Amino acid sequence: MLFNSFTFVIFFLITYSLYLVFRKNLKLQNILILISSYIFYGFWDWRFLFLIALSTIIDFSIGQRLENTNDRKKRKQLLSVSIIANLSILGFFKYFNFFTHSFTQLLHIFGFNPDPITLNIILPVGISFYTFQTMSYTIDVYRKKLKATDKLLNFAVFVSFFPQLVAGPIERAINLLPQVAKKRVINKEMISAGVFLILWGFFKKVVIADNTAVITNSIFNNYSSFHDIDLLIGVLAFTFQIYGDFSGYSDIARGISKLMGFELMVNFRLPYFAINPSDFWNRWHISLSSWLRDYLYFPLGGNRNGMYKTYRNLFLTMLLGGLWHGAAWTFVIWGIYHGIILISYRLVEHKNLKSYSQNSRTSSAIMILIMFILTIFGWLIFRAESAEQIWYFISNFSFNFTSKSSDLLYSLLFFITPLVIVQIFQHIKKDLLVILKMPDYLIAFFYAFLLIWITVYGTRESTEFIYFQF
Amino acid sequence: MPKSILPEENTTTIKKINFVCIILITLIIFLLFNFIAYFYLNSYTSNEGYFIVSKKWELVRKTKKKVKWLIVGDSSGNQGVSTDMFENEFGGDAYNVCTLGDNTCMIDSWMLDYWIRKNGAPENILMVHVYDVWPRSGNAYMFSQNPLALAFSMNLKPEVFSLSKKTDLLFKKYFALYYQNNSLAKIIKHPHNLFQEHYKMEAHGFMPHKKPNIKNVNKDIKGHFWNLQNYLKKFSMSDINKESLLTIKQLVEENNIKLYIANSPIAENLYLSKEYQNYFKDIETYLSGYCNSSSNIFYINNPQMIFPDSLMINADHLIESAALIYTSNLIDKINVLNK
Repeated sequence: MLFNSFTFVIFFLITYSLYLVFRKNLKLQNILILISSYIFYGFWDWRFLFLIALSTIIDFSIGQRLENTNDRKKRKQLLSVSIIANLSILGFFKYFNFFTHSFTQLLHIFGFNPDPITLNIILPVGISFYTFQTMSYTIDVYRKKLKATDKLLNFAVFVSFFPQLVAGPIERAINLLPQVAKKRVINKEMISAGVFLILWGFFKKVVIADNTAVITNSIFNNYSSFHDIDLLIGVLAFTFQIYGDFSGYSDIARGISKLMGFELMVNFRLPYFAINPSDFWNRWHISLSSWLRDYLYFPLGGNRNGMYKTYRNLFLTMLLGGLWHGAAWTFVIWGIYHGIILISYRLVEHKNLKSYSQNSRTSSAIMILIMFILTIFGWLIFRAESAEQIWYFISNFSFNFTSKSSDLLYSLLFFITPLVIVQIFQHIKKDLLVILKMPDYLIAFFYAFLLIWITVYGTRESTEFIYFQF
Repeated sequence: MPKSILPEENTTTIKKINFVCIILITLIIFLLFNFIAYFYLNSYTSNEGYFIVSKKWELVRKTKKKVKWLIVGDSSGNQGVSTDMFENEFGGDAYNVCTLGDNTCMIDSWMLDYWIRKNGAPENILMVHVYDVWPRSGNAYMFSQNPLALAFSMNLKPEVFSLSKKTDLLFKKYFALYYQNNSLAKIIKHPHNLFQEHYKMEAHGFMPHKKPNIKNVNKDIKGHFWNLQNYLKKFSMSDINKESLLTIKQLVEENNIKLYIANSPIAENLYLSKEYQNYFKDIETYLSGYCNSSSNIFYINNPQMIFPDSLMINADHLIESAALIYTSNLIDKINVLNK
C-alpha cells in the first residue's frame, strides 16, 4: 500500500479513528497498530509477512535470552545467531542473484563457463529497513544499552510499525520501543507539526519527485539522444527527484506518527546545504548513516587506530552503505565514490584548511556549492545503469544549450523552485519547522498552495517510492 | 573552516483556535481556488472536448427561438455538418449542437428534450454518429462536462443515472482542480496563455477544421482495426444508447418532428476493410429497423460517405472543404427522402 494512494487514505482514516477510540487502552491500541501494519504490508504481498514475523520472533527470543544471561561467550553466540539469521534473509532475498551472477562473470574471465544459478526471487519491500531495525535491537541489548522487552506484542509493533515499515526512518529500539510500551500523548503541537510534515511530504513526493522523474527518465532512458547541458539537467532532475521522493516519504511517515503520538527520528536535515561529505551524511538518510556509524564504523575501530585504519573503516562503511541501497555494481561504485570523497576531504582538512577563514558566509556558500556538485556527480553514478552511461554523461557534457534545453530547464525550475525557497528559509533560520512560526494566515496560504499543487500536479497513477526497492 | 550547524525541528506552541483557523482558512482558499478554476475553465479550457461540450450547451441554453434544423451527434458531425448550407437550402435556422462520441446518444436526447421544453420542437433533426459510438456506454469525464445540475433538476430524459453515479458525476464536474488538472497544470505552467481562447466555433455551432493530418488518419485507422479485431468484434447497441433512441423516438413522435439519422463520414481505407464491412452491416440492420419503426424517422445511408486521407484529420473527421461536400451530400439525400 502506498502513502500516495486512495487505499491508504481510507486505510489510515479507519485505523486512526479506531486508534483514537482505543486511546484509553494501550494494549488495544498496540494490537490495532500491529494488525494495521500487517494489513499495510500484506497489501503489497501477504506471503512476505512471514519474513517479518520470523525476524520478529528470532530477535525477540534472542533478546530475551541475552537479557537472561551474563555469560560472555553465550551472549556472543546469541548475537551471532541474530546477525547471521537477519543477514541471511537479507542476503538471500536481496543479493543472491547479484552475487551468483557476478561470480559467474568472474569465472568467465578465467575461462570457466559454469551454468549461471539464478532464482526468480522477488525482493520483499522494505526488507533492508526492518532487518536493520531488528538488528539494532539485538545489538543494543547485547551491548546492554537497552533492556530487552518481555512483551512480544510491543516488540512486534516496534518491528512492523506501518508508517516507517517499508522505507524508514530506520528506528532504533532505544527510541521507538519505549514509545510503544507507554501510553502515547497526542498534543496540539504534535498534530500541527504532523499536518505540516504530511502535506510537505506529499508535496515533495507527488509534485517534485514524480514530476522531476519525468525529466529524469526522459533523459536517462534515452540518453544517447541528449547532449551538452541537457545531461546536467537530467542529473539535476534526479538530484531533486531522489531527495523529494525519499525525504517526502520520511516526512509523511513522521507526520503520521506524530498524529498517533509517536516521535520518529529526523531523517533529513537539508542535505544539499552540506559543506562537506561528513556533513552530508549527517543530513542525508540520517537513520541509515547513523546506523552504519554505530553498528559498523565504530565496531571496526572508528577513528581510534590511526589515520590509515580510520580511512579503511570509512571506506568499508561507505562501500557497504552503497551495497545496502541495492544489488548492483553502480550502487557499489556510488558507495566507493562517497568513501573516496570522505577520505579526500579528511586529507585536505588535515593539511590545508585549518587556516581557512572561519564562519565566512562566502566560504560556506562556496563549500556548499562544491559539495553539491560532488553530490550530483554521485547521483549520476547512482542513477546510471552502466559505466558506459556514466562515461557518456561525462564526455558529452558542456554548458551549451540545445533546442531542448530551455523547455527542460523551465520544467525543472518550475517544480523545484518552491522547494528551494522553503529550504533556503529553513537553512537561514536553522529550523525545519520554520513555516509553523509564520503568522497563521501565511501558514494557511502555504498549506493551500501545497494542497492545490498536490491536487493539480500530483501524478494520478501512484508511483512507488524509490526507496521501497532498497 | 566554516562549521556546519544542523537545522533542528523546533516545535512551537499553538492554540487550538489558531490551529482550527489555519485549517479552515486553508480549506476555504482551496475551495475558492477550485471554483475560480471551474469558472475559468468553462471559458478558457485547453481541452477541445470539454470546450465543445460546454460551448454547445451554452448555445442550446442561449438560443431562444424555433428552429428548422437541430443537428445533434458526435464530433464527426460537429466539424462535418455546415449549418450555413442547411439554412441556404431549407431556409430557417439550423443549429449544430453535436458534441462528442463519449457523450453517447443520451446527450442528443437531453438536448432535444431541453430544446423542446424551452423553445418548442424543431421541425427537423439530423443525428450524426460514428459507427463505434453505438456500442459505447459513455465516459464519466465527458458526461460530467454537461450541465448536470440543470439536467438532474429538470429530469431530462432519459434518466439513466443512479444516485451514486449522479454524485460521482457532480464531483467530476465541480472538483475542477482534481478532474481537470491537466488543463490547469498547463495554464499554471504557461500563464502567458491565461486568457487565450484555444478554439473557435461558428455562431450556429459548426466547428470547421482547416488542415488535414494524414499521419494521424493512418494511425487512427490502425486503432480502429485493432478495436474491430480485439474489442468490438460483434455489434451490440449499448443500453444507454438503446434507451436514448427510444426516448428520442417518443419525443419526435409526440412533437411531430422529422428525424434523419446519418452515418458519419469515414476514411476510404477503413470503409473498404472486411472487418469494418462486417461490423457495419449489423449497425445498418439495427438502425434500419429503428427507422422503420416510426414514420417520423429516416435513415440516410446507401452508401456511407467515404473520403480520402488527404481530406481528413482522423478516420472519421473531415477538414472544412470535405465537410462542405459531406453536408451537400446529406442535403441531397434528405431532399430525395422528402420527395
